[in-house]
Amino acid sequence: MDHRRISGLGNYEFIDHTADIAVRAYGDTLAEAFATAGRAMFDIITDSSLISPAEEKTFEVEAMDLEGLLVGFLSELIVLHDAEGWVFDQLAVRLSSKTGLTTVAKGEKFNTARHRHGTHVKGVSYHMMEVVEPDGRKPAHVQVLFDI
Amino acid sequence: MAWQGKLKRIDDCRFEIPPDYRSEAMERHGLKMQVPGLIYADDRMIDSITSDNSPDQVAHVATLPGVVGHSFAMPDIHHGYGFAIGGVAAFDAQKGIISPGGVGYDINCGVRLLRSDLHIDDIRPRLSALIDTMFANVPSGVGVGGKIRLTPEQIDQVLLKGAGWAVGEGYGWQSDLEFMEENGCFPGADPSVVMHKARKRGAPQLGSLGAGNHFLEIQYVDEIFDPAVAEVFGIQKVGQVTVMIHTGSRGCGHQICTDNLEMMRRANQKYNIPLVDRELSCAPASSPEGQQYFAAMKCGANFAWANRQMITHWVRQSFEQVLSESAQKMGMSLVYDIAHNIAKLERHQVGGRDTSLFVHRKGATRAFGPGHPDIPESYRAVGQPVIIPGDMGSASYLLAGTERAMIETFGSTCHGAGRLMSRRQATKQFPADKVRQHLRELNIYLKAASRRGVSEEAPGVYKDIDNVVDVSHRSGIARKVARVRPVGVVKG
Repeated sequence: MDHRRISGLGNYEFIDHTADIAVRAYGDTLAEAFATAGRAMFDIITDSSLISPAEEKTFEVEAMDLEGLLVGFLSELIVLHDAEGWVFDQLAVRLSSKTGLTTVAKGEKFNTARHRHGTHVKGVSYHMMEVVEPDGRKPAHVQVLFDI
Repeated sequence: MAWQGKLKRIDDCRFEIPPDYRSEAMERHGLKMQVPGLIYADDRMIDSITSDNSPDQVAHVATLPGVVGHSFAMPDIHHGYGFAIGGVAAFDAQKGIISPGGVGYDINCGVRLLRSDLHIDDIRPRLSALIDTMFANVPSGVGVGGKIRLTPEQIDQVLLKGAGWAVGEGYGWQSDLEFMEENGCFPGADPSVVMHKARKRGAPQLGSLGAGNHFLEIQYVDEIFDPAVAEVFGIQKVGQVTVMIHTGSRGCGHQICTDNLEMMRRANQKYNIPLVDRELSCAPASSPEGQQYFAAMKCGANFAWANRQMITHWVRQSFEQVLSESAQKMGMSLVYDIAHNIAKLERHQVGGRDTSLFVHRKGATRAFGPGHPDIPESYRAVGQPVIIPGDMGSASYLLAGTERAMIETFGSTCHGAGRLMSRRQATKQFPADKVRQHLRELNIYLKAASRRGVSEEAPGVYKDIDNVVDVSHRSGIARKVARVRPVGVVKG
């Protein structure tokens, strides 16, 4: 496993899986761990350090629980990438409840001249999923397996 | 994590997971297997199968309501989410369930094989030109869309008509439609249950290869095992050139899966179906939610057939451009097109009775035996063609479905080599330049959109395709017809 430190966000690590890629992402808050997981996903799709936060997109997600929110949040990022070519490097997530969140995402359209081709992410699975609130000295973390 | 359970050896190609097996998760949820698990494997591969805990996934599928026969693992099985990849499970149409997890995100990911009258020696000198032209004509890679832009009305037609839409728009030949599962169009697809996001993701990607394990290959026939059946499929001689296309429903199918997983989670609560694993979420097949998923899944499947049809057209065009001859004259007809991520309503014998079943094939191929009415008439006497892609450095296979598969596996067999190694480990172990060098030594020309993709799809990350196909052949759930080897590869 390798760990990455991203300025302004928590750590994340990739967890080996035979067919797909799993990520464990940390944050001081659950919302921050969500955002870290989003950033990790753009490190699978491309190299997120080469993305410039030129434009802003805002979206809301509703689901039946926190797990559903995490899947919904990451899936919405995939839709924006897949349908419109967006790649994001700055994500701010606000959890309004256990069934709703708002995201402000900053990034730009994918440009083959400047951005690296990574791996296509097809979807976000519930397999191996963990959504854990911060507890005393332990940070919040989420774990998610991307379908590749 | 290695699997700790006990397997019962049936013969040299079959291992049973006894129905009294209880995984930790099954104990926790108080759930039992309704039917045994059956793994097709030999001694060479069984250790790698039990090394990644995929037998637990086979056992977990066997806990779902209405499962019949066995929960099957094909010899290329590997760990998925919920259902293992290389898994086959059938559920009673009245009492059973349907599950998006048993199909996967890439609905109707599949393979098609084109034949030709060309000999490998005729095209060797033009091989790099052919591959470069195919690479230019068929959009591929991450975030790369198709060449056409669909209106909302057009995308409805794609979801409704599948490959037939593409042929109507001038992509390929009318005769192609005869040589596809479902003739390239799933009846009963209902575009009104496909959400806006799936259309939005799908529209710009129709007519594109994508990335990951998807590919185009120029191949030649390297060995013919069954000349009589090969002849029926249009494979006449060693050295004959073939083209293989492997891709699926792109973002459209992925989003249909995502949207329906959320719906299925709610349905799961509503119908109070106990689950070992959240990714097994499902609904009764006869419920409105189950039917809605099935109608949406069919749309995803139709998108994939249209996609492979358009790519077929551009492959033929590429050959025409480089070789200055028409595709018809070069005999570039379709051998067959198979889906290896799909759920289908089929009739099979269960306990001597003709029964309607939802057969889920996730990383598994339909392999209907001789005489089945769903096989094209010209192939019916010999069984359905089964196309098994290998990795880009080894070989792929053409097989035929068998009566044994009909009796034993609901007419199913393996789908490919199956991964052995994670993508991250592959990236470390197989640098792209070394993979290219290795392929050059094998006289294989590779054109790829992504360096990472080259590493992740290195030949060494896959199981030995010869071994996988051999187990399918020896166990009788398909029989070998011919082997093809790649000479040129386009990777996304």
